[in-house]
Amino acid sequence: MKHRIPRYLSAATAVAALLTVSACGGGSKPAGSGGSDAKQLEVFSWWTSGSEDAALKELIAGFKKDNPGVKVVNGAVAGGGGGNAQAVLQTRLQGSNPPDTWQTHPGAAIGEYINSHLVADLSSVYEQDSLNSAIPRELVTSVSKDGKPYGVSTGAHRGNVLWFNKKLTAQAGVELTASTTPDQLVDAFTELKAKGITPLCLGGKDAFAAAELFENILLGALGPNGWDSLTSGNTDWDDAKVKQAAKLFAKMLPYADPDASALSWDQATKRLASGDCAVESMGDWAYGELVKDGAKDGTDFGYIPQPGTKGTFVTVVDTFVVAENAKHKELALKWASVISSPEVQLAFSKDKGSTPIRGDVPTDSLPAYQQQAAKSFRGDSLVQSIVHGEAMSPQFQQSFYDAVTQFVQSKDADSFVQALATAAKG
Amino acid sequence: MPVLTRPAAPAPHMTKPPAKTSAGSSRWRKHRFSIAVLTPSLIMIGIFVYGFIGYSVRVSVSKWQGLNPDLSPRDPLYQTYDDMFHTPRFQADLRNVTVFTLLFLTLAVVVGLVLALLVHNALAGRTFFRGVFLFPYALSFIVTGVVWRWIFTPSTGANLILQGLGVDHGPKWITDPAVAGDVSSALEPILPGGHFIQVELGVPLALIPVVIAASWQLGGFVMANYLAALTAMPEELREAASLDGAGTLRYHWHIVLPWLRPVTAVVLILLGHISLKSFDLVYAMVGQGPGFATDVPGIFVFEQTFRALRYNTGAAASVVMFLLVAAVMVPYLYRSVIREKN
Repeated sequence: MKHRIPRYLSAATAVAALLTVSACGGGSKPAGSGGSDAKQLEVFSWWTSGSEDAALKELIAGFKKDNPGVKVVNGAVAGGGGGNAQAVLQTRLQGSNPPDTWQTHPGAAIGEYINSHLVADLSSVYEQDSLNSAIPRELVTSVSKDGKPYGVSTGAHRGNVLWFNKKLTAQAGVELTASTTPDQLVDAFTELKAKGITPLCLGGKDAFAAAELFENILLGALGPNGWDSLTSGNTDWDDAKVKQAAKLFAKMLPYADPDASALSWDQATKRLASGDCAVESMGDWAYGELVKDGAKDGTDFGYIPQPGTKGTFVTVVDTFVVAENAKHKELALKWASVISSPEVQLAFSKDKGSTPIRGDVPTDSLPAYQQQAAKSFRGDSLVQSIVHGEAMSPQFQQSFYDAVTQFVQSKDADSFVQALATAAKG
Repeated sequence: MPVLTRPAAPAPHMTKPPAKTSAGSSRWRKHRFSIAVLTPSLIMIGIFVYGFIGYSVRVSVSKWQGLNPDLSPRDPLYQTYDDMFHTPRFQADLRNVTVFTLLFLTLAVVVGLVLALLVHNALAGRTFFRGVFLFPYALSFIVTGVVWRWIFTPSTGANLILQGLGVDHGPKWITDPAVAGDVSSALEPILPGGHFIQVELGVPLALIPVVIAASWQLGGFVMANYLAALTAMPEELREAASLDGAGTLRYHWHIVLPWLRPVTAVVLILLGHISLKSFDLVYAMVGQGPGFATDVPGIFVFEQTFRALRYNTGAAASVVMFLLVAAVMVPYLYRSVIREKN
């Protein structure tokens, strides 16, 4: 009796084996639906919250107006303050299946993509729209390498803002103005606490929130020139001024909301709006959150630059890049051009709560806070944020977060600056 | 008795004639079909499981940081591991995952066992209660995490109930940075390398709410496992025990618990590896916690790989996680293979 394997089974086995092998080897070709001739554009971001989503829709609407018939695929990934989107994006980049255009920040963040040759040179867009004259020089440099720009920015958030609940500060007889010094701020905390008010709002469940507070204190201790010197490696991280900033940070921490480590940054901001705590150091994306929580600018809440940082604007900039091997590169280049136009920037900023990057966008239709921020943006010294991955490498950014988390408990300034110095050396 | 006699061995002339070809090729022919059927899945598993484990190990000894893969080896090869084990954060992670696993396994098994015994002996509503206790298992860890975070936020959660009962200063729950029972100073002189341990070795109090949440979610699953075993228990055992004069307690202690031991082993393995790999519940509920009091290796891997772009460190930490899980799984698999052979 012959016991042979049916031929079709052997064939199927061979095919399956081949498929397995080829599935692993064939990573160089862009996969995914829609050929390169399809009229569509994939825009990747982590903008899913109400105001962010609305702002993104403004960009898309602007693009569609100029390019009717093109389908825009909104590939936004929610969660984790962009962390989840970051994970998805990296997986796609590793698999050579990039979105046509994606959101990032200038400086070190975009530098990672430029150095890995993943993003396209946008000189043609800058030339065609004369962006070099419309955008502050620092912000062109921060998206460029060897004189070639690789990103188009839409709006700038300000990182160094101190928000406060006006009713609570009035109740404690505390006055916070643009000329308040860091030491006066600590005194204000003492007075608030004496009145039974929780002085400092902090959303410590998000590692970046405490890091943001420290970044702002550090900037106050260093000033814009010292900041640039530190972030470019000319000043060491165990410098006396960094240590001094750490000590001030340690002085403020006991005034923080005891619930801090159970709260996300937006929950902490909500507490400010509802009067459960008085002061928060947070970028101006908090503005949209406060308004959403029903608080009114001027009567319910006020804002000043973080004490010690008057005249300096920490930029947290939204930038788009175009994939070097984009499936729809021509459309992606058009996208870059559209989102840099004055009308689209204004509509975007209105929803996002940021400042238009272009200096020639009229701001009088924006809310009072944004008008004031735009004025600072156009007059102040601009510095890049470490917390948001612009001024330093992502490796250092993570070490910065970790060191701050450690310091919030240990309050050991010496080992804190030591950890930062070690991290900066790589 | 004739009924009990074994059937006689077949007469020699009825057996198959010996194969003409050699023994090896006949075995090959006999198994050819099964080999052909198994090959695709073996190849798949080889590549997608073992191949990638190998790749992770390779990345962990490489210089890969940043978006471009750089697989050139570090010198010495173990440098990434060395750096990683010296960071306070990773030390805290290892402490946390160990403490969490021990507490969680104990609590989940005890809760599951008690529930199973209660439901099994319930006079009415057995199906109803089984459903109620199993229900949390159907929820996503993210949902559980968010809800338990609200409950354990000191000023707005469970402490309000305590306040109503007259306790003014309730526990700090997930915001508590304290580590109970620190033994690191006792270990310091014994361990080589002097100041290697940079964290307090003890039970981080902020982890306890997470243990409660995890046990709440998986206690029902443990119960279901025990219930199945209890249902399969022969009634004669109970009858025999009661004939011998065993009371309820002695019956449970000497008969039921030993009967459930194999189930307990399975449950410990299943929950143990979930616990060692835990990410979502912790991430949603507490994140890294005050001073890394609740940070776990899973979060460390995620942040090192995708935020810091330190692919080598992320891979090294996942290799450590893999070894931890293997330490739980391999003895179990080994035992079941041995048992199958016998």
